[in-house]
Amino acid sequence: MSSKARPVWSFPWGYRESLVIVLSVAVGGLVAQLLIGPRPGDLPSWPTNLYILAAVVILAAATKLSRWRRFLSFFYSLPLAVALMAAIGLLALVMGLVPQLALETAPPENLLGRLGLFQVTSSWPFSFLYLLTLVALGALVFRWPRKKWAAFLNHLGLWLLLIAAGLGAGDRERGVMRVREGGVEWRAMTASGVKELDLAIRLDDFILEEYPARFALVDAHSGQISPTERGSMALSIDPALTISPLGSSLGAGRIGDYFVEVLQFFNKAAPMGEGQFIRAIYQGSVQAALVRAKHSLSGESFEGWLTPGNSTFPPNPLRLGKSDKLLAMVRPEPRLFVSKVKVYTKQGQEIESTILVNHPLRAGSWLIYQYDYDTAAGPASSWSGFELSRDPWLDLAYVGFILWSLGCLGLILRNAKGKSS
Amino acid sequence: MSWQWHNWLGPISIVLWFLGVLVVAFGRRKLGVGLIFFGTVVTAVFIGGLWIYLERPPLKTMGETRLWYAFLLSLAGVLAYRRWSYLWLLIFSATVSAVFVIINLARPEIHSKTLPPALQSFYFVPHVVLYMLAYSLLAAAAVGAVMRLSSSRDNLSAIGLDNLIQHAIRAGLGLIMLGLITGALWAKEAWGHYWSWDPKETWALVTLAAYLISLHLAADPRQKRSSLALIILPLGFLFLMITWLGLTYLPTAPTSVHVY
Repeated sequence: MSSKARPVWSFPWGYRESLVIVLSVAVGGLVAQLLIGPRPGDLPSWPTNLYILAAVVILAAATKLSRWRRFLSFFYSLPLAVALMAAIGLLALVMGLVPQLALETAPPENLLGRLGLFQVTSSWPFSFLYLLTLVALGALVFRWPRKKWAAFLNHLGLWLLLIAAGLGAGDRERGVMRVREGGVEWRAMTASGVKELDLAIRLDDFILEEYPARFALVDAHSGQISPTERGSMALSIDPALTISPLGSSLGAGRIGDYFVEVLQFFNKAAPMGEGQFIRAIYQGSVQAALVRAKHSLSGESFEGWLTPGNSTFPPNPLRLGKSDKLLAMVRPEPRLFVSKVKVYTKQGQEIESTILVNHPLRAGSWLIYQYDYDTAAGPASSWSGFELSRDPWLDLAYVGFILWSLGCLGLILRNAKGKSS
Repeated sequence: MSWQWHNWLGPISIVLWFLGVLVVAFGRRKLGVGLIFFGTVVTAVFIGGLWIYLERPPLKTMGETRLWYAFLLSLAGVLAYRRWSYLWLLIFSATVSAVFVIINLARPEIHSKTLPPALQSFYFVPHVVLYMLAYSLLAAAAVGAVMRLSSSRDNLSAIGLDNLIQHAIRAGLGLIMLGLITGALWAKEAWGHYWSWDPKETWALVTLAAYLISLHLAADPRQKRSSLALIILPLGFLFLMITWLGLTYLPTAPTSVHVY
């Protein structure tokens, strides 16, 4: 690749040497994989990962200080970086094409399975290349290219992030906990079985709010729902308006051949018999709408109450005369689910708060996430599921993210400035 | 402004884009660029109207992201043309934008007002918009690379083209990395960890690796005469398209939270 005919393995090492070295590391990993099996599921945790980090930092720093600098400069060279990125890109490509198995699942007993094809991230080649990447990035960081601050921030941020993500992996804990309404729980399901935690969660209330259900035509014979039929529109109702003034509609639109008008809507209702519904706010109430559907060609008009149903009441579609189509309300989608909790930590801390998706609660060293609920029961779910995660390296990861984003901004802005010159 | 409006505004944008390209081709540059820009404004107005109508950012469905892509690509085309004056850039951005509008016209989806709780996040809008912006720049870089590879001359216009490709790559790469970072921060808030090897994330890494290789090769003075940095660009764009559109059809798709 280089223009001059230069003997291989003479310094400084270039692309050929880099490719050979990266390939050797990968092949070495594959051999290890075959000889001693996949990397243990438990990654090195505190303090072993700290020793590994120290080794990485010393090796990276040695590129600046050591008398062997001529050899060690290879670690921050462009060719090695390119070869490493190609190797990692290829591994990611394998992961992107071959469905990966969870760590707990045993891979197939064939050669590909033994080589770690189905669990790339816990294979030796992946781990070796990851470590080499950490050394290469670290070496570059220690070289400190003063003028190119954007490039420096990009590499430093990525380095810190990869340290936190990779070497910190062994210290990360994750568990899932289900708590009944009114109950207290301190045991979580983790990868290594049920574990007692140093905190307890009391669930005071679980609230699920739903969007107004959408309407669709259902084929009475095949059961096929046709909301995507060309030209059809899902009606949506403003949840603030639940009772329409006489004669006007809450929402209207075309669904297939029908013009559908919503005359009345309750987001919490109960059946009254004879297909009637009344507003009723209680556990197990259901959405209901009074609609009028008019066929656009024949002018035939049908009116009736619909409900999408829930775990208590069956769905109630509207039969459209003799046609084989039914007008139905589709199971509503959740808009919001919130758990009102009180969290007790072993240190005696008591936190009363709410937890919802995208808004985890920090309690001690744990982050508590809204995870799931009884989806069959919907709003009537009597329990709430939480995911708990603890990552002592998270702050370092965030520092990495911040520095990396500043580097990205620099890359974009310096570039934009270059336009005018 | 409901989705029905798109049946009118979509074709109006397409007509304005191609009319503008024709006018530019016949030498009336200012008028032509004005027409193209007007077509882009029409798309922007529709996005704004849809946002108000849906009461949520229109970024949830594939059709909605195609809308943003058409808007940002046609905008990038106009801006890049003002800087580099390549007619092919205008033709390319108008054609691809039009294709995405036509796909939306041919395959109307349900654009319901519902937004699942996981998407109700501060990161939703920046995450998707950063990516769409990056996609449009990297598309231009890929086409530029193909043109550069097919012309062997090292003349002034080739240098200008190299310049454009490098600008597009740097800005595009900065944007996809910011998109990746906002996605990671969002994932930490929503799913408990910033990187979970979701197939979408894995493919984003493949794409990132390809572009990083190209950038690093281009930065190496020893590689000045090699065209490898350019050859990687169309490949990187292919990975980008797999990440965005093709993932649904891969065997790894069922485990992704990104399939919509």
